[in-house]
Amino acid sequence: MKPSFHGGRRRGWQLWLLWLYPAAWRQRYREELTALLGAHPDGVRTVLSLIVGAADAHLHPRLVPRAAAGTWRRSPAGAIALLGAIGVLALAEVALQQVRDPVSGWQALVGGHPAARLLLSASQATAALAVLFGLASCVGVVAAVLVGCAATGMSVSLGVTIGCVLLLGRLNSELLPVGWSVAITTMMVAAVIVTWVAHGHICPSRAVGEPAAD
Amino acid sequence: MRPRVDELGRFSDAGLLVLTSLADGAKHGYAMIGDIGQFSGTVLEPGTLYGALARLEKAGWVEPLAAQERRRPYRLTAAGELVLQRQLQSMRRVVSTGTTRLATA
Repeated sequence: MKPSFHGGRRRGWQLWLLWLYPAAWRQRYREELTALLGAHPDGVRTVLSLIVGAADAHLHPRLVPRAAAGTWRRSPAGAIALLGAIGVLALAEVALQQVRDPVSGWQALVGGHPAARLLLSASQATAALAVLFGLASCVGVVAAVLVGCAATGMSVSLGVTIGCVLLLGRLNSELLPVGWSVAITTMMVAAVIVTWVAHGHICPSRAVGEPAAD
Repeated sequence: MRPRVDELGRFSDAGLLVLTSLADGAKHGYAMIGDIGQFSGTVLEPGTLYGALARLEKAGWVEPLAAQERRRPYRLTAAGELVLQRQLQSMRRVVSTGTTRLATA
């Protein structure tokens, strides 16, 4: 049976599926596979093959030498963005604490000083801003992680995973004491990073072109 | 060490088809899918094709050539040719045995 081809027609939604693949894999094969998808007939089988292929690529990350992808040493932007995202989360947490109890902190500081009223007003204004800041931080954390991942060539799925973990930690903080929330979030982030390093999705020190060991 | 086609895992069939397709010269992915469809009746999907190509390339049985526009041709290496010959010999023995046994059954 001869397959039928529709030359030159690109399918954006199929190309989006390529983002399911690991960064190193995309770096190596994306351009030629994009060209192939532009000429290949549309269909459920194609979609399934890409999804299964992406899962297989994640399960066998050593198939494609990592080259420049995922090398934190070459491009620390991802690490910086991730740390920045965590910093934003921590600031949001402090700000939200201020929202919950905006008065007591300032009272403890200023006592019966005449300037207390002015400072309390400033505190309430800060609290209002903090609500907006806290809400924005949830989106900001995910965005910063994704930008960092894109900058380093890390897998977007790793960024999404870390972003989700951070957001879960943020939700935890509404239900648990701050200390517990920070501890749980830290452990979850560490577990995700360790897991992904173990699967070869992040390689902090491998040089460009160095073959991956099996 | 003797190379083994079964190292290709679930892509062993696709890998054999790709090796066979490249036996008469270099081809890019689009041409491989068309050629394989013609000689075997199997339409390889892009995800399957590139899963097989990644394994074959890592095994050193195929190698990429310089990209032509956005398409990159691949060709069989000497090791790949050897693997294909051995696999085809093995398949010929299976065909011969099966045919003989069916005839005498």
